[in-house]
Parts: sequence; structure tokens; C-alpha cells
Amino acid sequence: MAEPAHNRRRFLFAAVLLLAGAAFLRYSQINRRPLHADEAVQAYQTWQLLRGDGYSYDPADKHGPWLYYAAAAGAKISGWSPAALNPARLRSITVLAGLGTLALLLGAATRLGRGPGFIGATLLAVAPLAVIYDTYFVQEAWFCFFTWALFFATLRLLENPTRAGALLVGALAGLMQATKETSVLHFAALGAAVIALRMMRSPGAAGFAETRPPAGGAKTRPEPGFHLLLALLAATAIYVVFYSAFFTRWVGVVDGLRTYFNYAARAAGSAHDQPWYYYLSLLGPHTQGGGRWGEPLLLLAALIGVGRAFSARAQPTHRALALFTVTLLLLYSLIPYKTPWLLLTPYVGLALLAGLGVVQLAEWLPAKPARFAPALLGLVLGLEGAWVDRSALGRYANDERNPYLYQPTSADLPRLVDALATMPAGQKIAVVSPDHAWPLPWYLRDRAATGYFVAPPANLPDYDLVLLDSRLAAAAPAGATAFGLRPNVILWQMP
Amino acid sequence: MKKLSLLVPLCLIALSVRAEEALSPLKVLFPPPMLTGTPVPAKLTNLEAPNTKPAPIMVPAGVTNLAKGKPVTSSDPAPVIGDLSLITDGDKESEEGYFVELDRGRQWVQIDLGAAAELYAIAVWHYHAQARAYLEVIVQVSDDPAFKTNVRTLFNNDDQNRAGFGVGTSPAYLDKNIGRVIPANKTVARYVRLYSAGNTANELNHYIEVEVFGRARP
Repeated sequence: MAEPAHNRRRFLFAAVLLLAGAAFLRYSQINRRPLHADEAVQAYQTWQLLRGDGYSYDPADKHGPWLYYAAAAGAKISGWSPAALNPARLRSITVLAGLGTLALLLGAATRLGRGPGFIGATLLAVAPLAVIYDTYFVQEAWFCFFTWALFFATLRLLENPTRAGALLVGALAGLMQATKETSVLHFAALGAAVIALRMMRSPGAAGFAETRPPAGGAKTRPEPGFHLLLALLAATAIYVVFYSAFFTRWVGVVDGLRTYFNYAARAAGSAHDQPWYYYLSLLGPHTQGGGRWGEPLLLLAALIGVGRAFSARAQPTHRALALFTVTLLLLYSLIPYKTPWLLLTPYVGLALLAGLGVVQLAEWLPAKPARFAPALLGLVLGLEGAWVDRSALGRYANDERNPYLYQPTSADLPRLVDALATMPAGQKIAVVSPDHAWPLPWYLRDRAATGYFVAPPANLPDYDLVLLDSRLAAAAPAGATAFGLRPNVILWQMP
Repeated sequence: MKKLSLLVPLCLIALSVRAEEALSPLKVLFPPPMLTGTPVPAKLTNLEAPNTKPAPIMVPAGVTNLAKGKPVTSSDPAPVIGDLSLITDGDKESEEGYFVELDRGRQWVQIDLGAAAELYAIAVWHYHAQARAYLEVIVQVSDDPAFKTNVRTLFNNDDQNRAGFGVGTSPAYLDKNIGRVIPANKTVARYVRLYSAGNTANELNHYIEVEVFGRARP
């Protein structure tokens, strides 16, 4: 039976309202934090690309090219010159991806169920993790968007195999690879979820194996091999286009594969290693530096959602959602290298599962209160997110004690940037730091007379201004001015 | 007249005895260091030697920490972490439970010593579990609780005059377990006010302890 038009209109109205609220929340945060060191690295590459220096993929320590090309394209469309690039403009490119993910979930509500879809999207809209990383100029927001687009496109392809669907799946996989090399983890999780889904399908149950007849009623012939080939071709084409820097640097195509050796080394041990339970503990209730953190209600609701997804009357989409989210979370937990932003993609799954859990909870109630229970329970979960937002986006928005952040740039750095801006253009600046003191190279990108040194050079007195990283100095230089760079790291401006 | 002529020399004698009273270095108890890691030494000429102790402050007998247990007020009267009484409770550790966290921006704390006293030094510990410097550190004393009259500045490292108390010439410093011991030069005052405007790690303001060394006004 077709759904009444007024119901559709009501949902559309609520969805538009939610997207508007999410956009407002994200744009209100767009300048809340100084550029993170990783953001500055991406911003610098975008700036180089936009001013005509081209792009070359670095397999040693960089991600894929998508973000730079997307930001450069956004800048061209908006008429921003390289000099006019600033953190807010760059971050607006990732905000688009974050809003795109929300729109995707709302669009998939017919598949997920209006209740779970809308509640999941609402939880994501207010989630501190999502708000923060939608406003970080790093790859994660786009990576998350492409991953969930691929998830829903794959389910659609399994349900209704068409050549256009196969091309879409391939294109999205290619875009994921062009965004971040860790896409292989997401492919593995999705592949495992699809295989497990097929194995779990009980005889006679509705599932993705039943191909829908085409609209015209003509008989369809499943072409799994051909569709796979089409998807692979689309993915490869996009991979080659981006990694070859639009056919200008072919070595990038090989480097894009060589990077996995670096990732293998990184996964084996680095300064960013965390225990396997890191992501769960991040969302679990805990105290950090005197503040209370955690989203235990969301975790609990997601757990109930997983239970519902594996119940006898579960829909295949819900089962796929649970399998994909749990596998992805498991994979990220098993890899020692962990940062909070890597949780963004699994978090979307947790939010949707929490929405499903809310619906399940409501069904356990008697019929009368059950009518309003999803909205009320969803509101409770949303308030939990908003409560955490108070600290994560407010008082501790740029504080290392905020568990959603990782090595945030000090809010004090703009003071140094302002001071540097008053220096005459030709003056020489020496930055003595073990790691170039990122994000400083972004802020000093127009100053050609800036030298970066890992140890004080012999001609240090020739420089008009010297900034010394506190990691190189055993004590505070006498008479120097202190500027914060990151937690535990100070830049001393030498007198 | 005869009485007065006797009184004046007696007073002068008393003053000179007081002026010549024995002085000894102020002893401040420091908590154990919390900072870990060994920084790489840089070959620069104008670095302070590691663990440089400040020049001793000479004080007469009877000088004690007058701030211990005294009431503290603040521009942030309801801190989210800790409470203002921690500032004068005598504990100088840097872990959770020992510090009070004030809001973002420029904030102050003020200690009422109960009566005007002759001050010799003010020691302050902001937070020493991490390498950080507090910004716009200003220490003032006054007889006026509103700090409008007879305000004297003992320390000011606000070198850009953002707080509006004048360009500070005191040095920036890393907060360590030895805190910062600021000479008070026998200033007589009842109230001590300390300002800061965030730190190099985050936007918030912290205090572990403030000690005010002095003695009752003679």
C-alpha cells in the first residue's frame, strides 16, 4: 500500500529541518579551533594545487588526492584565489561531506525504516565526533560519506543488479580509494558483511538474493561476473585518474599501491598506538582530566539494535548494517594505530543501530505508550549527544582532555600568527623544531624567507626572528616569549 | 618636650634594630616534579640551565604563609573542576583533585589575608603535570578589595598589554613543580590578586596553590 502523501511531506519537512540544524551546528564550529597539524598539511597541498604547482602523491605519509581536488574545485567554483584560502573556506568542503552523509541516511530511511533512519540521522547530526570531524579539513568526512554511499549502493545492487548500479558501486569504491588508502579495511568489512549475510539467509526468507523484476516486467538475467567487472573497471578508472594527477604523473598509480607497505609498517607500531578497546572506552563513561565524558546510552541502544538486527524478523538491511558496523569496529580495534577520527565511519553505523534499538525498545512497551516511545527515547539519546556537545564543542572544544580530539593545536597559536603577520615581508624567520612545527608552515606559506631546521643552524643570528620548539630546549630561554603549539609543546620566540 | 626628645632616639634605635634583623633565605616547600621525558638539549647560548632555581628571597624570622586557609574569590565564582578553597589548602600536587579550573579568557583569583601585612614573596603553582606556560600572568596587591586604589603590580609578563595594566616586563616561564616565587619587597597589603588568560596548551586557567609569605604589620 502506498504511503499517504502527507506522511511523506511531514518526513521531508523534518528531514530538511534536521539538515538545516546540522548545518547551523557545523558552521557555528567552523572557526572554533585553530588548524590542526594534519589539517594544515592538507591545506598546504590544496594551496599548492590551486596555485598551479600540481599534485604528486606521496606514498610515505600522505593520503589520497580526492580532498585536494575537491577543495581546489570548490575554490575555483567559488572564485577563491590561492591567497584567499582560509580555514573556514577549506572546512566548508568537509562540512558538505558531513551533510551529505546525513542526507544519505535520511534518503535511505525508506530502506532502514523511517524511525531508525530518522533517529540515527538525528543522533549523527548532534554527535560531537561528527560535528568536530565534519569541520576538520582532513579526509575523514568524505571517506565516511563515500563508505556509506557504497554500503547502500551495494545493498541496492544485490537487490536489483543493474549495470548502472554496478558502475555506481565501482565509482564509489574508486572514490574511497582516491580519498584514503585505508579503504581496503572498509572493503573488507563490507565484503565480510555481504558474505555473512548470504550465509545467514534462512531458506525461504526474504533477502538480497531475490532479484526484483525490472519496471517493464521484462525478465532480467543476473550477470554477477559482468557487474563485478564493470565495478572494477569504474573503480580502476577513478583510481588512475586521481593517482596519476589527471594523467600528468603516472608514477602516482604505482605509488598508490606502494603505500600499503608503509601502512603495514605503521600498523606494526607507532606513537599513535592504542589498546584494542580504545574506541569503546572513548564512547564509554569515563573521566578525563577532571571532566566526565561518554555516550553510554548510545552504546546501549546500539547494542539493542544489534540484537534486533539478528532477531528472526530482522530485515536484511538491518542485518547488513549490524554486520558491517561491527566488523568495521572490530577491524579498527584490532589495528594498533588509532586516532579518534577513524571512529567516524563506524560511528554512523552505531547511530543507525541506536535508532534501531530505540524502535526495538518501543516495541517492548505496551501498545499505547509505544506510539510515542520512539520519539521520546530518540529525544533522550539526542539530549545525551547535546549534553556531551556542551563540553566537546564548548568549554573543551580545543582541549586535549576532550576525548574526541587528538593533539589539538593550541588556541594560543593565532597570537603568534597575528604577531608574525605584522613582520615586514622580507624578514627572515627560522623555525627550529623536530617536525616543522605544523601547522606553522601553512600560516607562513607566503614567506619565502622562512627556514625550517631540526636543530639550530650555525647562522641562527642572521635570522630576524627565531622560534624554538620546547622539545629541543631543556629549559625556557631567558627572556623569550611563549606561544602554545600543541599539548606539551611550546614555541619560544627568542629575544 | 623632654619625653619627646627621649622617644625619638628610642624609635630610631628600634627601627635600626628592625632594619638589621637577621635575614635568611625563604624556604618554600616544592611538590615532587610531575613532568616526564628528557628534552634534547639545544646548543644555544641564552638558555637557562635546566632546573635553575630562582635567586633566594631573604626574609626575617616570623615570616609565614599568610594565605593558608584564607578565603579566595574569583572572576569565575563557580568553577567546573575543583573549588577555590584548593588554592590555599596547602596541597601542591598536580593531579586531579588538587587544582581548580577557571573559565576561558582572562580570569583572576583573589586572596583576602584578613589584615594588611608586610609581604615578602608570593608563590604560585598553576599546573605542573605538563609543559605549559600560563599567559598574561599578573600579580597585584592592594588594600582595596575591588583593586581600584593603591594597586601595586609585583609581576606582569603580559608583554603586549592585553590586560591593560601596562606592558609587562616579567619573563614568560614554564610552570613546573617549583612554581614561581615572586618577590614582594616588603609591600604592605591585605589583598592579593592573580590574573591569567589561558595557557599554551588550552584556553582555561588553573590554580593549584598560592602562598603569600609575610608577617603582621609591625
